[in-house]
Amino acid sequence: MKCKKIQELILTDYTDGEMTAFDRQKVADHIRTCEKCRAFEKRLKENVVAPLQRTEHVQPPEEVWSRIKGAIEEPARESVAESVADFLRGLVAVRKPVLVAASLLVLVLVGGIFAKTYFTGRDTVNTYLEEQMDFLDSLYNGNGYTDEYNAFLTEDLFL
Amino acid sequence: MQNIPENTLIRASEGDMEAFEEIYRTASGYVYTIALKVTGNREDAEEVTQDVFLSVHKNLGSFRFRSSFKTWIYRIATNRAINSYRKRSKERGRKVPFDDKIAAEEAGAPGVSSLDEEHRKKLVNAMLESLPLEQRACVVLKDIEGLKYEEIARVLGININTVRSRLKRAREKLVSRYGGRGRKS
Repeated sequence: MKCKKIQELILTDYTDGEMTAFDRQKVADHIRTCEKCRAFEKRLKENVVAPLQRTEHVQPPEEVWSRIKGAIEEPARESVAESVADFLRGLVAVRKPVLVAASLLVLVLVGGIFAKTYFTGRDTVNTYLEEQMDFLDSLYNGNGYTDEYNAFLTEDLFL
Repeated sequence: MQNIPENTLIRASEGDMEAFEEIYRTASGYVYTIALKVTGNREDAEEVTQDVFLSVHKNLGSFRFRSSFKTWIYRIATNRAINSYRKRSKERGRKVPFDDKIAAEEAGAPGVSSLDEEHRKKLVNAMLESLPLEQRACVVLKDIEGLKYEEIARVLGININTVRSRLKRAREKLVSRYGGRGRKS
């Protein structure tokens, strides 16, 4: 092999151990007999590769870890707070007015019944509910309750 | 780089901070050294290290173990360091010189006199500074990190022959400038 080709291999594959044992031996045989290539290899290894290879790994300052940890944990805390805020906003937000109105009506009815129970006792409520049920039943079945009711209106109220 | 157990990577990807700190303690010296030797600046190297680990934390869940974790983290670190140096050069409108102070960061090699060590550290920084960015990254990954050509190709996303060619050009230049008496024939 010519010196130019040998020196190209010294610059790369030979020095870096990227050659097959067979090719490596051929280059080594040339270097042994060629003073110029031997000197070239020495200059590369001693003055360039060895100083670079002796470089020690450097640990980053401790505050780098603190910053990383802080940056990871901060969004996590923010996201918990965000979730709570979203939940509360969801409770207050009026997204479907009809649904909200219906919910309020139910609340008023239930509240009314509750209040009645509290102030007048359970029996009164039961009676009230039974009366309402009878009234609705009479409206549906036409069993004469309306007549009694009409009579009541005619006789007791307007006369 | 020392191997990080797969179990540690999985735990870290599930949000275990202790496992993530273990990854950081194992890999940060490698990441910071690459950043320091590519950017030539301590502040930039710290910022790169921070970005690399935040990116690792964010993307660990999608890491599928098809490539090695070592290659993956080297790739992120090298790319971030190259981008950081490019950004800094663009801001200044010229090639950014290495900061002299970074030589002092490195611990001395055992068994070598401090004067020799001081000289070696300055020589290393001068050599790296004299190289174009792409060649510098190849030299750092080869001679400082000890990666194989195939690994360097994967880290930099280039052909293995491009790795060979960049190393050849870089070393030709370094031998010619720092290789002592005489010139390559």
